[in-house]
Order: sequence, then structure tokens, then C-alpha cells
Amino acid sequence: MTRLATFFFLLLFSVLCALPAPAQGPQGPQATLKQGVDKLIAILDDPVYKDKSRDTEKVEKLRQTISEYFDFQELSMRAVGKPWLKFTDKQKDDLVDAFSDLLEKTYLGRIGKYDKEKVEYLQELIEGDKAFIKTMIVAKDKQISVDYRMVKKDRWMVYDVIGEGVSLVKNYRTQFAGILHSGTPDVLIQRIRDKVKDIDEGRADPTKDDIFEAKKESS
Amino acid sequence: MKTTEGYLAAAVALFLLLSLFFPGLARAADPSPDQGLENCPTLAQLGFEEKEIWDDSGKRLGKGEADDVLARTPDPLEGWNRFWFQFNDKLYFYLFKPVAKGYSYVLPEKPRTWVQNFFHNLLFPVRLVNCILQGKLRSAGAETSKFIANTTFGACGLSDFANHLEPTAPTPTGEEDLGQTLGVWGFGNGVYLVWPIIGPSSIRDSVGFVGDRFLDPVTYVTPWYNSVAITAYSKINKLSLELGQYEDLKEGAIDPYAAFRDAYLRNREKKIRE
Repeated sequence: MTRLATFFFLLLFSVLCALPAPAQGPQGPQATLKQGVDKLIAILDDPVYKDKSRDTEKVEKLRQTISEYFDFQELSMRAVGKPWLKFTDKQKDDLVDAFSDLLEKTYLGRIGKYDKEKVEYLQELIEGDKAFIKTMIVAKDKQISVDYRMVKKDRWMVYDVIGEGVSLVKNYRTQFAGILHSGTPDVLIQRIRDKVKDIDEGRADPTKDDIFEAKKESS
Repeated sequence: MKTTEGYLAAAVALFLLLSLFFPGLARAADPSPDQGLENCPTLAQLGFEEKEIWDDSGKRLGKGEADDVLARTPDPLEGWNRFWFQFNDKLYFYLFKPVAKGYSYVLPEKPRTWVQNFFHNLLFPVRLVNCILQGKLRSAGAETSKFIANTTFGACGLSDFANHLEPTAPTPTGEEDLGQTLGVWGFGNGVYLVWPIIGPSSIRDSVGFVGDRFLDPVTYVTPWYNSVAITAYSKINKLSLELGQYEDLKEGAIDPYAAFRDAYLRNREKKIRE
């Protein structure tokens, strides 16, 4: 009798131990994040892309890798917040498209400045389908804290990046809230599209030298 | 009868007075228009969810707890602040940036880092006093050793070689100022402020900024215009090493003013937490 009880206890115990493992899927959030970051670094380090003429190819590859690990849908929804419920399906799609375009444009420019910095993974917090990963980017003379919020759908995806305490999602929510307070979702979508256009045409910096030079050459 | 009215009036006056100092009270009393949505049963069906399990520092949030520095820091002077934000933006692009660019064209990066290290080393009293005021004695010690090492072996602070020496035990950063000290002591931001030239700040951080100037040796240089000139030079030198950072932050913003307000307040909050 006692043996049977022990057997059942062991069975229950092993089942309990085994349960959380499949819930995390084949790969945990930190491992997924690391895989993505390593892929980006590999592209940036790739000597093949030292040649300036292959820049478009490189950017395209970076963009593709980012979209594999970033959940722009989740990010956009959280950046808009409650007003998201009043968006029509088309407005939702338009916003996600425009917003991911903007983020890719601005972030690709920033990753391009990568200079052999190291990424240290400090802590991984998991609860249900959410995760919080703390990392530190170690540069030559300074350290920058970068944390990630992740969500598990088919697999773990990043939906928020927190750089030195500033959350990407919350920073945009602050901006969007002001615009949505006085304007409609369409106004917001148009403002984002205008911004993307500004970046494409190099109007973000009014004193950018090469822009002046390019104009001189064309005239 | 008269006394009840008196009490009522006193209570109302007290509430008004309190809500003046604690804007949160008034907001709590006023049911927010979003509340209907919160109880809406279709929320989950729509797949909408915005609650976070951890706050921005990775701390587990309790039920219904949403401590947000932005909600705690009102911006009643938005018009005034936006004006100075635009003013500073123009000043940056049309004055400071060209000057810093010209300066960095004349002087290579290495000597500019020395100048930066020198001024950073000079601000040691600010860091030391604020570390002590916050009870961060280990950090105060680390800052002191750095100061002594950099001032003697580092040629009056021109070299920051002590930065590469790891302390024997993990030591929190010693980059403290009076604004952070006041924050650690429990003072809120008050309201958000943008100053001409200085940029984003708050009532608390402005008080801190003025207080820190008493510990800044450059303040005591006479006559006053030399002191101002030295400060201006150190700022231009610093800027020459950080060119492009402002542009990067501004580039992705739909509403740059709101983006910088958010970033300033959250970044300060993080520094206070550490």
C-alpha cells in the first residue's frame, strides 16, 4: 500500500515537474532574443557588406531579421492603448504598417552605428506568456541598460524595448495620446506617414550638410 | 445649522487645497471616461490587453498598481514649455551644433575626451556630497578613489583611467546630483519645466540644479563672465562628443516635445531608483 502511494506520489511529482517545460516551448524568451541579436550582429559584422554598394541588401536583411523577432502588431496596440478599441480593422492595419515602417527606418539608422559593443544578458523573468529580459550593452567607455518585454504567441516575440529606463511603447503612447485626444485615428496615421516621408527625404535635420550639397549638385 | 455649513465649507476648502498639492486626489474623485471600457466583457474577445506584469525596471507590479511618473508629473505650463523647446531646438541646429562641429574639426577626438574627463573630474564634489546624502557610502568611496587616482596619476583628471578599474565589489553608480537626492528623499517632480538653453527639467530638478552649482568649482571663478565662458566651453566640448544623439532621439518622434518630456521624466526616474 505504501509502495503504491509512493509510486503515485512520484508519478504526480514527475508530471508536475514536467509540466512547465513544454509550456515554455522549444526555446525560452532569452534564448530567442539572444538568437535574434546574434543574427543582427552577424549581419553587421559580415565583411561581405563592407562594400557600400551592397548597403540596400544589408538593410533589407536587417529589416527581415527584425521582423522575425519583433511583434509590431502587439507593439502598435500597446502604444495606442485603449483608443485601439475604437479603430476600425483597416485603421489598425494602416497604423501597424506605418508605425513599423517608422520604427524600422529610425532603428536601422541607429543599429548602423554598431561598433563591436557586447551584449550581456543579466536576468530573465517569465510569467505565463510574458517575459522581461534585462540586458546591458557594454561599449568602450559606458554601459547602457536595455531591457526587453516579450510575449509568447507561436513563439516568443519582442514587443517593447526599454533603453535607460525609457520604454519605447510608453514613449509613443505619450505622443499618440496627445494626437488622439484632439484628432481621429486617421490624423494619427497620416502624421506617422508624414514623418516617414520626412526621414526618407532627409528633412529630419534642417542643417544636414549632405542634403545641402545634394541640392546644390542637382540644381 | 450654521456649524454644519461651516464644517462643509471647511471640508470643501481643505479638499481644494489638498487637490492643489496632490493632483492625484482630484483625478481619483473624478471617474475617468475610460472606466466603462475596463468593465467591458468584450475586451478579452478583442484580444486587447495592455496591463504589464513588470514595471520598466523589471519590478513585479501588484494588482491594480500602476505607478507612472508621467501621470504624477503634470504639465500645466505646456504652452510655455513648448515655446522654449522649439527655441532650444533652433538654438541647437543653428548655433550650438555648427559651433561644436567647427570645434571638432579643429581639435581631434582624443584631446576633446581629455577636456571632458577634466570637467567631469572637477564635478567630483557634486557626486560625493549627493552620494553621501543618499546614503550610498560605497559609491561615495568609489568616487573618491577615482577622483584621487585620476587627479594624481591621471594628470589632473585629463585621463579617466580609473574608469576601467573594476571595484572589488559591485558598486552602484556614483553619478548623482541634488535632483536625484531630493527624489530619493521622496520629493516629487512638481511640474515639468523646459528652460531656455538648459532644456528639460522639473521644479525638483531645477532646485537641485541650482543647489549643485554651489558645489561646482567653476561657479567660484571670478569675474563672473569667465565662469560663464568656462561653463559654455565645457558644454560645447561635451556636445562635440555627442553630436547626432539629439537628432537620433528626435528623428523617430511624431511629437518631439511629448517624446522628450516622456524620455526625460522616465530616465530621471530610473536614475533615482538606482
